[in-house]
Amino acid sequence: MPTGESREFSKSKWKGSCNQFMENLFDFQSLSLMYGTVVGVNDLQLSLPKGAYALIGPNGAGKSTLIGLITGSLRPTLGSLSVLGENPRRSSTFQQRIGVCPATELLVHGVTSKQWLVLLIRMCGWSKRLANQRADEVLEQVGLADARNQCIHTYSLGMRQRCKLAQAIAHEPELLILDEPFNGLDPIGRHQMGDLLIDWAKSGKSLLLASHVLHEVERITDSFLLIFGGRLLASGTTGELRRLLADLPQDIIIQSETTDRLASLLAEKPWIRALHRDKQANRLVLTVDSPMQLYDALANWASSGTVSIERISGSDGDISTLFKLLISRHRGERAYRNTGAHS
Amino acid sequence: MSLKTTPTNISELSGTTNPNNPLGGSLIRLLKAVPGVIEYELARSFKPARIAMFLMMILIPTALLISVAYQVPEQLKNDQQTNLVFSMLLYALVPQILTMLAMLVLASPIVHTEIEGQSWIYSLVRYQGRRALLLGRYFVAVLWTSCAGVVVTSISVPFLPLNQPLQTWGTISLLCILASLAYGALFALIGVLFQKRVMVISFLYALVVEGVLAWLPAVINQLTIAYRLRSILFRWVGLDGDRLFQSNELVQNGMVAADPTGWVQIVWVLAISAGLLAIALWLVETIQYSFQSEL
Repeated sequence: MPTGESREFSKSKWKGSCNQFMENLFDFQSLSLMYGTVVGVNDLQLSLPKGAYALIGPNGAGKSTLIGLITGSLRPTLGSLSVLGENPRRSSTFQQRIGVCPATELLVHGVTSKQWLVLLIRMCGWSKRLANQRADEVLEQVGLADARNQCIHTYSLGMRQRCKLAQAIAHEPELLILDEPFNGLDPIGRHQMGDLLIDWAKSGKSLLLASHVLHEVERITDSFLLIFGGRLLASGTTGELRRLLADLPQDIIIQSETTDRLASLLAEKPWIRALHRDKQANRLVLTVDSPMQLYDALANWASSGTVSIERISGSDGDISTLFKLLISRHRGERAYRNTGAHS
Repeated sequence: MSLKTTPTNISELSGTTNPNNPLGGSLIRLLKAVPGVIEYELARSFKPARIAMFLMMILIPTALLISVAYQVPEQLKNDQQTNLVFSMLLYALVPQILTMLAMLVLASPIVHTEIEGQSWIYSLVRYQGRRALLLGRYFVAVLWTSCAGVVVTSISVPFLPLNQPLQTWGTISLLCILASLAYGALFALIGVLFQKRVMVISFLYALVVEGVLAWLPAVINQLTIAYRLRSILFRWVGLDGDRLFQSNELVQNGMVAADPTGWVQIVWVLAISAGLLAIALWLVETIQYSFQSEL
């Protein structure tokens, strides 16, 4: 089950805003999918308005399964879902409204990107002339115009990723779904792909982006769905995630000339779970249940001159830290020492 | 790079769909998509490997037929029995073995190669994409195989000791096309049903059902494609069908070949092909394929 915080958190903003829209992007009702005895997606309950979302989770978290359900490629074992107000497996018009860029390598041999795109556009029912025209347009958009008559298997990885993106947007879908679009891209390619997706999101169309490259995801959207073990751990905006992070137990390192005094003050506090003093480095390593209370206390002590603080480092709202914390909590772990929280 | 949205409406561009009439829209979309797949597959086909395979498909049976014909003594060349043997040999080698094996290789793995090649997902997320792909690749396979069969027949017939070479050429060529359609539909259906070892399953089916069962003098052989093709052969290839049907008890009882005219058998073969293809087209949209690693 998602944590109490994440449930409340997911409802706080999006549930309210859902009422303003006639047609949600996603409506999941107890959505579950089993692969035999293995759980792919577990009891997802979520309603989201149209917009851009990042689906974050480690390998095997259920991202691809969820995308399979959203695209209608997989059938839910239990529960139901609607995407853009339609049942993906029953609607005759649904596939026209989505574009999918899968994570897998593009292994098309002996055909040019234009031939391949024309095929996929014509598969949507477009006439040959218009499919050719649209293929040229979209290849121009993704920066492959000069390589349109080059065989795909001779492309670099970045070019193949752009080619995959081209087929996803070629029929002008309302919802673009991308699974790990940054895989294998060099820094310039990543930046360009990020720009493309930012433009897409700005155009008012919906986007679902599954990725583990967190800082690039943050650049594109500030709305996140954190998934692990087929369950939704948390969802919300960057701001909400930061607030959630502030309330979660985490490791904090304090650099101070008065570590003795600070340690004795902190040791009395009930929200300190663990405290380690490194005398040589003049620092304290804390595991804190309630970071907000710690920050309040430190501010008071520092302003009254009781202690001097040179530097505080720890979780700063970084999504990766939050994710690790949420997974730890989800797993029922009591200790959060190995969260790797650093500023 | 920047994304622009083109102002044109998709429905306008494609000129296809009426959202209020999904059935009509579906059919039109499918009919528009299939030629796209055929063009794409044909463009991909004209590669050295495929052309080499095509040449092998032509050369091996042609060489075999001509070399056997070359061994026939001159005095036996106009014999009725020789005519029967060579008609049967031509039929067995071309519409039966060549066409069946070629369709097995080309039609069975239609879905499997897409899944293996990680390109299945691109068809999955296009409405009617799977059907268009199946139909398009099926027609391309039929085209290649029929062409190979007709070419082999056309080259071989002038060298064979046949009483009515033109009639035999026409019948065997027609049988090549019918066999391609029917075996293509059969193997496409097997390919849709089975995702693993599809070639092995298809081969075993071809061997057991079309190879052995089709020749058993029992009612069950009437369910095979080979039985229908053979019936057309007996009627039309200049074997004096009436005499054959009257002289042999097994034939008379419809155990080896069906008695009705060749046209009825053609309708049978076309109906079998359409039926198998319709089932394959229905299944390919409804089966949930295990392509999980693809997404």
